[in-house]
Amino acid sequence: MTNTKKNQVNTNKFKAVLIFGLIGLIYSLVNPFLPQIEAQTMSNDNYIIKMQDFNTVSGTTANESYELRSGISGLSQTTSEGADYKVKTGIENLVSPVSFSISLSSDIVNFGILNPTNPIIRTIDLSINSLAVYGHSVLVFENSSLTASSSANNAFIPDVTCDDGKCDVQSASEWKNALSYGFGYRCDNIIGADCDNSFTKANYYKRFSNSENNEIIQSIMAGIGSSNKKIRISYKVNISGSQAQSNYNNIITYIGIPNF
Amino acid sequence: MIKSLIFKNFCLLIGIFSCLLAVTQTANAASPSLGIDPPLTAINIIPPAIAVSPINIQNKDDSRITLRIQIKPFKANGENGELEYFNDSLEIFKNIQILDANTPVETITLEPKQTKKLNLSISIQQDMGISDYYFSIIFISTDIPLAEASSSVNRIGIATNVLLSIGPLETPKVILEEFSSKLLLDKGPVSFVVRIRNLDTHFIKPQGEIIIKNVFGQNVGKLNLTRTNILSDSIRAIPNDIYMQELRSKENPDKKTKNTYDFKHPVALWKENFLLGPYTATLNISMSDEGPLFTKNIYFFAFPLQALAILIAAIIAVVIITRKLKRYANKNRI
Repeated sequence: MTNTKKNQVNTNKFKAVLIFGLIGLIYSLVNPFLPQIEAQTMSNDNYIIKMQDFNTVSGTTANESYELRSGISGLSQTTSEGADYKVKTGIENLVSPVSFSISLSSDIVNFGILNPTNPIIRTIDLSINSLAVYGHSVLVFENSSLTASSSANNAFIPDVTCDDGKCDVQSASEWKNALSYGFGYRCDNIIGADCDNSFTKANYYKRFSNSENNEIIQSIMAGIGSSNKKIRISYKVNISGSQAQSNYNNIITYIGIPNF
Repeated sequence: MIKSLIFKNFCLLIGIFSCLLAVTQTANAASPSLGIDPPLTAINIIPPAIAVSPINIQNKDDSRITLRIQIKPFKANGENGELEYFNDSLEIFKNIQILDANTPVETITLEPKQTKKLNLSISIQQDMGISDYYFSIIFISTDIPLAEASSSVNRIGIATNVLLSIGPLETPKVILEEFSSKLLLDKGPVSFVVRIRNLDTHFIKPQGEIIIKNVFGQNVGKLNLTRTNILSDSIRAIPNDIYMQELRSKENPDKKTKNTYDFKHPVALWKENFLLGPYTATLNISMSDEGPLFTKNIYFFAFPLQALAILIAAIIAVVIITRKLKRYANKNRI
């Protein structure tokens, strides 16, 4: 009889523990619903809506006839006033101790002596610091195709169209065949993921926008603001046996642009 | 005798080698690097007026660099703040100057590590009509290194953007193009799409938030929208800071996981993982300091299948254990 009572008590205790455990489990699942937040305030003639925590430190310069706002970034947050103007430069939402900047690992890519059906690949690295802005892009274009330096002949190496003849300034395509001739580039992410998605496959190349032909300038990288982004750009050139012997040159321009 | 000859030849070789070393010039490629501040300047002018704003340009490399200054107009490209240049040379550019110590300049030379403070000067006459102008001031290197073989010369450039509004700022004409989320969800985070179309003559910079309430009317989430510029006659998708942090954290190319969020299509992100029942999301957004204010409600329903499966499994486990305990207790009783 005593044993039966003890067992009954133990069973009840165990049930109680289980019920508490179950309640705890349910509470932890429902818990995310419980926290409260406070409203903020916005208003005009017709409405009042309460809000808080907006960072309203945007930079403003003004006098009677103009107002100037240096937004999104600034090296420092300053305020100054004159007789007829007011200056506020500051950081809205983003705080960055450094400016928007762009760097190239080299100002020249030397292909050396070009031999027919012997593709040459050379790389440079491009870094960008855009913590000061919400986003950025880097535009790239060439002044012309690779053109013979000797003025006697007007020979040039055409911009590549890849193995299937389909790659252009916007779309990448595979370029593996040693009998596909031309000049092109590809982009690989080193830090970040700013290269165009069309370069995810190996040996996929595009050609540069050619300003000589008034082609629309294309973006080689674009992304969200960050302290350190880095891409590797591979230049590839391959010539045919009939290509005139000469040194071939062109100029590639990279422009770092903050988003607005 | 032989030893002496060997010694003489050795000395001769050393001499020739030294001369070659002295004559040969090493060709060092530079690593051009530029910085600019501020990256964006917004100006509102009521004519006639002359507005002046500083631009700091920095040569971060160890070599001298010469930069050509260009002004290029742009328009919005997509809905995420990217821009696209067009080739028109606008009449107003005649009124824009870059001043170096009060002297207009078209090129500048920066010594290694030098930062130069320039001034952007915009002069607007009385007869200038109400309008907006968006343009970049671009600094592009002009130096061309000596190339003795086939080569590509790499030039570097950097831009700062200017949003210029001429005329008084009034209540803008704006359309809330979209405020939406998925209707049915099994878990968070929740993406809200907020797209604003600016039909006004001037660019705007809306300020807003999204308040999320659960079935009991409790406020369970508040998202402050990022203040971004929406150019005249364009649409912009408005994100929040959480979305941008999320993008940054997932940007390691070594990670094989695909990014859930797309940089090209910004969203306001509510990072709440456990969701249950119906929710109401309220967008409150003021399009400018002068208004108008928009308020819109949307509804979505969440049913956490995974959490529910865990809960059911837990209940089944409890039932089984209880029954076993009962049997054990009954055995002991017997």
